[in-house]
Amino acid sequence: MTKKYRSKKAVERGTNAAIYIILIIISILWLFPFFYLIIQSLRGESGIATAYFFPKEWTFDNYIKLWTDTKDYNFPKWYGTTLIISLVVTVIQTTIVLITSYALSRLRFKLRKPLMNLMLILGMFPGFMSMTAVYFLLKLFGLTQDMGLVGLILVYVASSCMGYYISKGFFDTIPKSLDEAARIDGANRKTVFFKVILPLAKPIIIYTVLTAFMAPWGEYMFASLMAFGDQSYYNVAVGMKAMLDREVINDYFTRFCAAAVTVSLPITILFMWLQKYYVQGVTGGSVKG
Amino acid sequence: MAQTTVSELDYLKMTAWQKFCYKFTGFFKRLPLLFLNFFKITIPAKAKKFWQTVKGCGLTVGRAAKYGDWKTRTSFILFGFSQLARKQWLRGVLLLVFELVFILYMALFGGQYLGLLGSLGKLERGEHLDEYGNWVYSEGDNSLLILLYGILTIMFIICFVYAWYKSIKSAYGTQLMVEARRKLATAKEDINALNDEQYHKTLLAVPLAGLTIFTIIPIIFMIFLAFTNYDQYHMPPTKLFTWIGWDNFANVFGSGLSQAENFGYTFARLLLWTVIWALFATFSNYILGMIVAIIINKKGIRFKKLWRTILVMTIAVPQFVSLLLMSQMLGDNGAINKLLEGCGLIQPGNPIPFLTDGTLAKVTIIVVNIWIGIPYTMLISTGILMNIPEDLYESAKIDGAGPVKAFFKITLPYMLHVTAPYLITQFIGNLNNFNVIYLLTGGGPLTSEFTGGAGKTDLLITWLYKLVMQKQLYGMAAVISILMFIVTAVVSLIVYNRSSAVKNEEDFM
Amino acid sequence: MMKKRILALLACGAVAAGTTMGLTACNSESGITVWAPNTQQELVKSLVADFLAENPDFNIPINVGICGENNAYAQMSVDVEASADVYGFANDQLMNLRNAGALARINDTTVAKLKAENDAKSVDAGKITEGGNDFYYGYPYAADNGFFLYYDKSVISEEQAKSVDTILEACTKARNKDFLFNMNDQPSWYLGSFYYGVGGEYTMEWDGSVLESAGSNFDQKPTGSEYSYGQIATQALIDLRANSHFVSCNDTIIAQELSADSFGACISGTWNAKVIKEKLGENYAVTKCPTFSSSLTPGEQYQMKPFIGYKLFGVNPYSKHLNEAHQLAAYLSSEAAQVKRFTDCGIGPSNLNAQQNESVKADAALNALWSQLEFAKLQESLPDSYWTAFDAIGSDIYGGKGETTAAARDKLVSTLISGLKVE
Repeated sequence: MTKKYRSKKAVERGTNAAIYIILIIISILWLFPFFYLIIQSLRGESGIATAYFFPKEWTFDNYIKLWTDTKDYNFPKWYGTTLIISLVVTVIQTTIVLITSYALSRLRFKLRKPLMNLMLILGMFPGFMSMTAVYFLLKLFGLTQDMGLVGLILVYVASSCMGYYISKGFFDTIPKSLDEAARIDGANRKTVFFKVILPLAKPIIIYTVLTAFMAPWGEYMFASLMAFGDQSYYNVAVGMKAMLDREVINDYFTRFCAAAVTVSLPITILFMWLQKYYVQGVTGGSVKG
Repeated sequence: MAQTTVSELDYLKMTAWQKFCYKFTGFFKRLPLLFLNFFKITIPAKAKKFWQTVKGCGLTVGRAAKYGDWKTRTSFILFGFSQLARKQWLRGVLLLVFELVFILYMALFGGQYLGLLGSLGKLERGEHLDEYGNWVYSEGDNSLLILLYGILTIMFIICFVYAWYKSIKSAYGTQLMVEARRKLATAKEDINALNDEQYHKTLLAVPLAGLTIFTIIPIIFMIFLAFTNYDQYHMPPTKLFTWIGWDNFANVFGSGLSQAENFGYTFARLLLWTVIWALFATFSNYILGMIVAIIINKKGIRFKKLWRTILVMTIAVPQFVSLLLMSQMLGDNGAINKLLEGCGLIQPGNPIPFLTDGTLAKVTIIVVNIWIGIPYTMLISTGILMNIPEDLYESAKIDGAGPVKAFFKITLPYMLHVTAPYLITQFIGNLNNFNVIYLLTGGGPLTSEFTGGAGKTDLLITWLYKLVMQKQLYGMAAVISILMFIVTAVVSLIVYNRSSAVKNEEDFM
Repeated sequence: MMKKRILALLACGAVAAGTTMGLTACNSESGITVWAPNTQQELVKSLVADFLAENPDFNIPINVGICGENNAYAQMSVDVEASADVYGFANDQLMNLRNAGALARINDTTVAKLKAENDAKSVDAGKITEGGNDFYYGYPYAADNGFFLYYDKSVISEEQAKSVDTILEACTKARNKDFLFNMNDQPSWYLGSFYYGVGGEYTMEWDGSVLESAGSNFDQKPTGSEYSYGQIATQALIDLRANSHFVSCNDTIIAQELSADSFGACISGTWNAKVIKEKLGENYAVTKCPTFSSSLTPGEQYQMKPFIGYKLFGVNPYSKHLNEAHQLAAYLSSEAAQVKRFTDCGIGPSNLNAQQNESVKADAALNALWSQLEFAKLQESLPDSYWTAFDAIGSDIYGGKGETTAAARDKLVSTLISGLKVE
């Protein structure tokens, strides 16, 4: 008996060791480009690329210049703009996704199925085909040029209900008996949503927040359309793309890498901060039926 | 395994894998039939149902006109009058305000565009010399705005008609209630209903409004574009464009673009690659991401947070940056080839053409896409995996199932059940996955085998982008997107509505 | 939770406010906007200040925005009414910009003045012939859009730099040195020079700004040769690809080769002058594009015939201050402005007097570029099929690793010819 027990433990230890090795390999593979990016951002020599891996001269200059030398490329301004866009988009988009998926998961009404089908297929139209139309609709509402940022935010969040699948799938796994119990206690559907469902939905809220927050940092196509030659309306993606113009790329590439590292910071921090709640939400009690 | 019919007994004897294959191949064999049936059965049925609803509405209006009292009849012209007269202030005021807004809109804005919709503008912008010898310009019509705002106005009119119907129905309903001496809903009760029985309306109003204005109307606009001659020689506001009927469709299949002899060939090859890519990209990410999530979640594995953070850090770098670096590193003279050369694994001057050889580039793209996608799948599956009831595993353990068996018996079915819609949207998203291809290879390596600037790794969507952005073939591109849309939409609707997650939404509760 | 709700409320409020503002107020924009590339922002701002100082009664505010010259069409065509009043563009976008209604005609007096002051080709770069009349749409200000040869003096002598063959010989002799030329990363801009070099022609028929037809004579044979222009040039490229000291380059690879000390020579444009000069130091040298040979016609040397392009200021016909915009564009492209543009940003002028400026004359890269003017081809508005056809053949030749068979080569040539044809 003890022998068998021990061997089982050994097997367990063996699997865990194998898993650690896999995880380490994965980490190296996944971190390599990130690592490369950081190294490039600390390179003292200018130029788009070098033939050797480690720079001959290490420096923080790229970061310092990125934040102080704002004459041609006003990175702090873009950063601020994008941060504001991101925050507003996160709040609105998370709200929209949550209420849509709650309604589609929990409430029953006549148009539910048709709506789900409609949202499924709407995403199949190539977005860039309708960019012109979206632009002129925004122009009609006065949300281009001077009000361009509001327009940009509106476009980012306007169709976010189409991303309901994941959170609807999550809501579907929360037992219906919980709602029913609350309904018997006299709660209306609004109370059920805010008091019963939302507190259980932490992992999915965090997933939604994270994806919503990230998107504006890399969005280029519509942002460049809306920027209209005014640097104060650039988001980081549009601004950083400008650093890659062939006339300047040799001077600015390392700074571009520094910018990319800087951009990835808030997202990483946000995730590390949210992860606590994420795991709590996932493992915290009452979901298990 | 791939017999057309299998007796029930044979089916029961199959292993899980065989059952899966049987279902899978069976589905694809039936797909053409299902596709046709969608047009032959589903659509006529829906149309019939819709027509009946409209007829029902007509009857209601007729009854209201026939039996309504003067208050109800006034509501035909003055929205909300009946409600106001019967002291349902909230409903009455809302309806009245809506009518006023509509009238103002039509008079000040919508009317002019509606009038020009038939021709898409008549007056072209002029260019002439003034008395000082300078060139000056006169105003002209803007076809694009006429079409777009015309569509907007039509949508508004549809809303108006619906509101008119609602107003009459509710007016007549109130009249009947009063006649039956039943109590009318007060404003407070109306509001309370919006938090309970009608809560879906409260929740969905804003999301659907956004969807309508910024997705549906632009798509309708795009569909109409397919019937115009909008291209680089007819660019508003300076030039007018106009309706040309089905010419663009004829051009796609007949002359026009396809006059290049290999148009059909290019289209077929890109379509094939698009499907292969979507299959690989979707399932590789899904399975691998889930496995990563499982092994991180496994009991006894430490530093869970660390592993997750490492993976998520890669999402934190904007895609255009990480893909730019990747394409730099994978180039013929890039870091990876230099590294391999340094290790003596490849001959100098004979690099591995990660991105410059057609076949290898496809493999590279799929692998890079795994790098991008796994963190996302890992995040999603972590949440869902932890919700799998623990007792399922325990009973499996008692039955003597190992971890692999448990994965196929419990984890995978559960995940598939919850995430089937997600999987379908991922698949469709990958059919239209623009970023990865565009940023990594730009569709390259290009080849003279293909026409229209297509490269060996171009998806239909990136090719479409080239057609629009480089050639300004808006009308033609609209045609291709509509065709692509019809095929993908119908197939995914069939798959989606047959998937078990939608059929048995409440199973795993 | 509370905070979130407040934020959401604020955002909704902003959206609503924006909507109402937009519906009630009309466009209050009243100034003149100039678009210039990122690198010329300071320059244009100071030129605008000079302009306002010289014209004290000019009381319209002038804003400076950002838009690269090569990006002008993409940006202008989105919404020409909301775009800049004056903007710089590369001349190959002329027809597209005109079709988008983004270019106003320049009056005859001004055109005469432009012709007197500028390099003739640069003024013609803004010309469209419509119904037998010539109309002009651009104020030329730069003549530096082209490519030429950079080389390392310590590896390649001035004499050797005259031919691709001798360059490759010198590189082979030096062992670890490479000759760089773009063959696979959207190389269409460069590749034509081989085909024009052997005597091929590409011609377009325009009706105003509408392309009627286009095509090449690459299927014809030079007198006394059994091979066509297309075959000779394609074979020359295949031969080049086969050489182990040839590296197909883009700007990234140029930088890499420089840092690896394997840079021998390279064909590129003025934008790379700075980085190459920095790395090569006193071994930095530039000259016109070299000659090349093809194994189909042994002993023959052909001169590469590169494109030359110009940059011009265009005036938006939708400008609310059309005359003033013309006035500003004329100033921004004047002799004084061009000299300042050279001193501040190193951009080669199109103005004849400015070209005679001492410091301009001393600029080696510009002189190498201009020394090609006699045989260079003006880069006109080329249809998209031109770019895709050449990009594709370049990529195929590169993928063939120099081992492309004669049959495969002829197939490539015929696809190129049919790809270039517009009917």
